[in-house]
This record gives sequence, structure tokens and C-alpha cells, in this order.
Amino acid sequence: MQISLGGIGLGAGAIIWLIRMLSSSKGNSAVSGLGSLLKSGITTGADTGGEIDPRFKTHYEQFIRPQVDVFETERLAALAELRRRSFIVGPILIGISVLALAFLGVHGGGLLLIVYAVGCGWAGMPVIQYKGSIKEKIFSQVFKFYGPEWSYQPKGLDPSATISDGGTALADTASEVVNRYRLLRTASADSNATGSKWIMPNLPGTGLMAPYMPYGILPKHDRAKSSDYICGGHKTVPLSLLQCVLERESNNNDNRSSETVFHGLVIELSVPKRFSGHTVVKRDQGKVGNWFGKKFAGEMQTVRLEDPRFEKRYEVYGTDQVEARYLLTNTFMERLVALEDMFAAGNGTCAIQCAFKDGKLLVMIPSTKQWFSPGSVFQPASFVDDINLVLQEMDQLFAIIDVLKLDDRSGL
Amino acid sequence: MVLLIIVLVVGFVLYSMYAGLFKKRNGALEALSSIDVQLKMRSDLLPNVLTIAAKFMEHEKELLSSVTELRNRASAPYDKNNPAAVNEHFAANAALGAQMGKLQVTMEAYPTLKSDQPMMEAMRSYNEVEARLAAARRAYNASVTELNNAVQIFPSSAIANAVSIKSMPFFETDEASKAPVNAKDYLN
Repeated sequence: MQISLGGIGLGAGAIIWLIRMLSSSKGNSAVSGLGSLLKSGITTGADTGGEIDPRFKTHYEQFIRPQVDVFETERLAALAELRRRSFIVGPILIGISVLALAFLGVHGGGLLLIVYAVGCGWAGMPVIQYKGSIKEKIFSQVFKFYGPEWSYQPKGLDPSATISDGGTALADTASEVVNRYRLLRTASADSNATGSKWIMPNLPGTGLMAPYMPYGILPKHDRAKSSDYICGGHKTVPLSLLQCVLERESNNNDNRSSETVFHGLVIELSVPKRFSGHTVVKRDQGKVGNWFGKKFAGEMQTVRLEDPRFEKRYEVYGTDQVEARYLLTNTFMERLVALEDMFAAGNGTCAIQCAFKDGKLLVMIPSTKQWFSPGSVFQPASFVDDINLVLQEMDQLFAIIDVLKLDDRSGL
Repeated sequence: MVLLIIVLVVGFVLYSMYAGLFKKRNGALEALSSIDVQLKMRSDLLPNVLTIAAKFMEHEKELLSSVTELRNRASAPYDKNNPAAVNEHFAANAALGAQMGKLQVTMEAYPTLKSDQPMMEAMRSYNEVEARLAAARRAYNASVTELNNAVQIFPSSAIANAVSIKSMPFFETDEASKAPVNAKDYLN
């Protein structure tokens, strides 16, 4: 009897610990969360002791504080439900594990993995829903801090627009798609103001990343997942931001596998310069890689620039040699290198790529970090740490405009 | 047979060098045309700037007339295939650019001119053209570097000599514009 109870507790604890590890960005508190839940001692209270960013204090008091109690109740309910489900799923998983080991031996590993994933997913659903609710209601308020025109879509672009040929949108229809998309995007931004649901265009044959495909720097992909679509402006520069994961499928001897070809942020910014061509700044792939890149660049030519540091890191292609240099001034080149160094400082390396087209600049920042993610569910719902983190992340992104001086109309 | 292969290989290499030289020269000439497009745009903008400036800068007639004179010199036709003529053309335009720089500094002493709406718009357009001109100059210098390397380095230099392809001059800013600007010179 003691053994079976211990097994149930162990199974339930394992589920909670797994969920916690998956859902928390502050992993070192996982052990204490496990302990507290097994003892039914869910942490309650107001704040963890952190101070809200002084810039945000008034906005916090006005828009966030009134929601704290409601969310704290939701959080406790989510944790209670998590605990209840864990105690149901735990014994089932243990039972299945024992049976699988008895009848299938080591060959049952794959089956067990699926069963565990389903079990953990079901048990963790209340927490996932709670976190989604934070992003929906709290984070959207946080972005309103930057201005009433800011909008935030936690689920990113509509996944129904995802199709299998997302990476091969036709170039000749691309501009039309972008225009239609922009119109709808503007319309949906307006509808957000009146509280309507975000409507995304379901464009057949275009794929989720279709608006960004014409820039020519997105890697070929078969699947795209997105989250955190943010629109707004900083220092008179309109911007939109999307967190996404692009995957490519491969078939090797009937074994289908997928490989992540990009994980990070895609940022679209307006450029205060008039230009009509297309300029792409890609990573330098070495002599052989660049030679192949040139072959696939189509009508674009290689643009040789003067800055040796820049040339070492990047390979530039453009439809117009003069325009490419008009956009990539010596100062801009220095700033782009500085920007990459700034992002690399936190992550070790950061291979930024960018492209200029249709009056806009698209910057791709690879990052394995999960941006705009709520903190641990085991902490009280004051949102102080979450908000401070979002503000920090936004400061980092605003630095793109500041470092590249995209608000500067002096021609630099 | 071996001799034939050697002749073919040598012929192919020589032809590649020959074709490459012409490609590079044409590339440089194309880049030179891009500069001329921007210079023409700048030249077209100047009468507008000078007309507005003349209304406010009655004591700067000498400076304004020198800009007009340099504009006429810089807009004069020239032989693009003659490096000396190209160099002279660049020198005239660099001098015009330097004189426009002086004019812009002198404008600082005329607040009413600086805040005049048509003048502000004219200067914004002028600065835009200057930025594009700087880009065209960089593109031209990059093309000229490739051409000059081919013209001056053996064995392609021998072919260049045979077909009379010459080095082309770089478009450099004039010495005056490289010197630090002393605002006192213009504001007194």
C-alpha cells in the first residue's frame, strides 16, 4: 500500500516537475515548486518583493493592479486543477509504464513517450491556459504602455494560413499578397481597438510567412509556427515584430524528420529613405558558399562594400549597386555590426540578416530564447517580474532603431 | 593534339581576360553614368536654392555667383573615355560641392533663411541628392578599383595595353572639403 501511494506521488510529482520545467523560464525554482505541491502548500500572496520598473508604475497601478486579484484566483485554481489531474494521471502512467516494461520491454520506449506526452499535456492544460490568459490580458495591456496604437497578438499570425509550401510562395504574386495582407492587417488593428477578434487573411497558396517572403532572406521551410505578433512604433518609426520557428522536412530512406532552420524574431521596420530596389544582407558563407549564393541571387548582383569588418561577416546582394550603397552607408554598416555584437553579447553568437524592400527593412534575429514569456506559475500573480522582463526585451528591440538610427532623416 | 589543347586553353584564357577587361570598363562607365545622373539632379536643384538664398543673402553675392559659375563648369559636357577629361569633370564637381558646403555654413548666419519653408525643402532635397551622390561615388570607385587592378596587373595589363583600355580616375572629394571647417571664416 505504501509502495503504491509512493508511486502515485512520484508519478504526480514527475508530471508537475515536467510541466514546471516546460512552462517556467526560471528553472531553478523547479525543485521547491515540486516540494510545495506535494505538500499541497501552494504559494499565495501579493508580491515576490521585486519592484516594478519606475517608468511603468502609473500604468501598472491603473491597468494591471486591478487585475491582480482575479489572476491570483485563476492561478490558484489552475494549480489546484493541475494537482488534481496529476493525481489522476500519475497512477495511470505508472501502471502503463509497468505494463509496458513487462510486456514490451525496452521496445516500449516510443509508446511510453507518447503516453507521457499526452498525460502531461492533459495535466498541464490548466497552467497553459492560465499562461495564455496572462499573455492575452496582461501583456496586451503592457504593450499599450508604449502608445494606444500598439497591438499585441500572443498567438502570432493565424496558423490556419500555414500550408505545406510556406517556403515557396510565388515571387510574382508576392507584392500583391503583401499589399492585401497589409490592408487586412491595418483593418484588423482597427478591429482590435473595438475589441473584435483578430482576423488574419487566409490566403491560399501563400503560407504563414508570405508577407516576409519577398524580402528574400527567410530560409526555405515547410512549416512555420508563430507567436507574439506586435505592431507599434518607436521614435516615429513604425515596426512590427513576430516570433517564429521555421522548420524544414527531409526524407531520408522513408524516415521523415524535421529540422529547425530558423528560431527567433522577424522585425519589419520603416526606413526614412526613398528606394525602389531590393537589397539583401546575408551571412558570409565563405568563397564557395558565396559563389553558390550568387548563382541563386537571380537578378541581384553582389555588392562589394568598403568596410572590411562588414565584408567579413556579410555578403550583400542588390538589384541596384548605387541604391545598395545609398542604404548601406559606412555608418550604417558600422551600426549593423555593433547591433549584432550587442545581441551576441547575451547569447554568445547572433547571426543577424536583413533586407531592404518596398520602403521597409526586415531584420531577422535568430534566438533560441523564448521572448515575451510569462514567468513561473508557482509565483504569485503580481506580474512585476514578467512586466520588467517584457520592458527589458522591448528596450533591447528598440535599440535596433536607436543603434541603426532609423529615425534619423539626415541621410546617414 | 596536345598542342591543339594548349592553344585552345591559352586562347580561352586570353579571351576571358579580354572580355573581362571590357566588362570592367563598361561597368565603370555605367557607374560613371550613375554619378552623372545624380550630378545632373544636383545641378537642377541649385538654381532653386540660389534663387531663394539670394533673397536673404544680399551681402553674399560673391559666394552665390561663384556657385553659379562652378555649376556651369561642372555641367559642361566631357569625354567619358578620356581619363583626363573625367578627372577634370570630377574636380569641377568637387569644387562645386565644396562651395555649396560653404554656402550651407554661411546660411547659418541667416536664421530667417534657415527657417524659410521653401529653403528647408530645397535643402532637404539637396541633402538627399548628396547622399545618393555619395553612394554613386562609392559604386563608381568600386568599379574603377576592379578595372584598374585588371589594367595594371600582368598579364591582363598587356591585353589592356593592346586594346587601349586605360585606368580611370577615382572620384575623390577635393582637398578643401577634407580640411576641418572653421565656422568663423564664414560667419564673420
